[in-house]
Amino acid sequence: MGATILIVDDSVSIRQSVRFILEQSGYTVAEAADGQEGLKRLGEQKADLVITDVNMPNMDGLTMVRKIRETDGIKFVPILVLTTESQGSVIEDGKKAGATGWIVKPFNDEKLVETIKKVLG
Amino acid sequence: MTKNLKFGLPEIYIGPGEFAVSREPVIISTLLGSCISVALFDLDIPAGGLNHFLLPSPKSGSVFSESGRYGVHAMELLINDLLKLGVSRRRLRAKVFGGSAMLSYREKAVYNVPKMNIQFIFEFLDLEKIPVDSYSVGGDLPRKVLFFPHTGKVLMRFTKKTLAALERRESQYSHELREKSDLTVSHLFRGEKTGGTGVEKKE
Repeated sequence: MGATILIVDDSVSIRQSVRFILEQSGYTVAEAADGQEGLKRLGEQKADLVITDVNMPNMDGLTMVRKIRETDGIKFVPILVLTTESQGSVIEDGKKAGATGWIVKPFNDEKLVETIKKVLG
Repeated sequence: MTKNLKFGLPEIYIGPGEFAVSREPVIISTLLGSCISVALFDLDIPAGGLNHFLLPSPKSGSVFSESGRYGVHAMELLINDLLKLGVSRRRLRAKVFGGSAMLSYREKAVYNVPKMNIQFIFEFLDLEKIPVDSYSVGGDLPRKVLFFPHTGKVLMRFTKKTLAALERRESQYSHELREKSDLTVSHLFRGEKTGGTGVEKKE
């Protein structure tokens, strides 16, 4: 069975298009609409990887990354940030928060899957 | 920024691939051919924004096609900047313009570029549950659009002027999009805190 990946994004279109690509590559996909929901889902269901947006209502992506890194049981899950933010300083914030990697949108299908494979090892 | 003398307001003109947002009484304007422009606004703030985009190689108008993803991206850039102005995604309303059949490469293409762009934007807005207040799409004439972000009002008229120049700009933009489409930027961070076993990567 393929690894389970949690997608955290406030846009339904992004969640569904990422789901589409990942399912085609054999992964199991779970979704959350913001950081708060993402944290809740991680508490309920194991994920092998989290893919998150940055700008979201209720709890933004980087706050969620920090909280995951402080929470026993989920603190070691790899997290890829998938965002329109390409500014060096924001990427640096992501690294400091504890993100595993950073992908700038718009992204190409193969590159996304390639990066996921690298992270999952 | 120029001043629109008729309305006595500052006017921000956007070209293909660009977008602008504002919560001030200004005008955001554009001239559209095959491209699509979406005006999004939240009257409670009030604030709004306008974009101007095209799917790079629309074999399909689906949000889930590779090409559709670039449309999703254009919409996301606009929505993100609106969210930064305090706009609520749930209160967003839309007006949609463009998609006229005027790019000269349309004769060579096996697919119908404007039709796919139109199909894309309505599918996107439906998925995101953003209501469409009005639209004017299709046909074969360029459109001049004036958007007033603080009221959500749009003035639109068809124009026959600047056809050749507009067509050239949109073709060039479409070409640039296709060139860019395999330049995904990704970084994997090296470090103890970062979960994975990443290596630094930039391409």
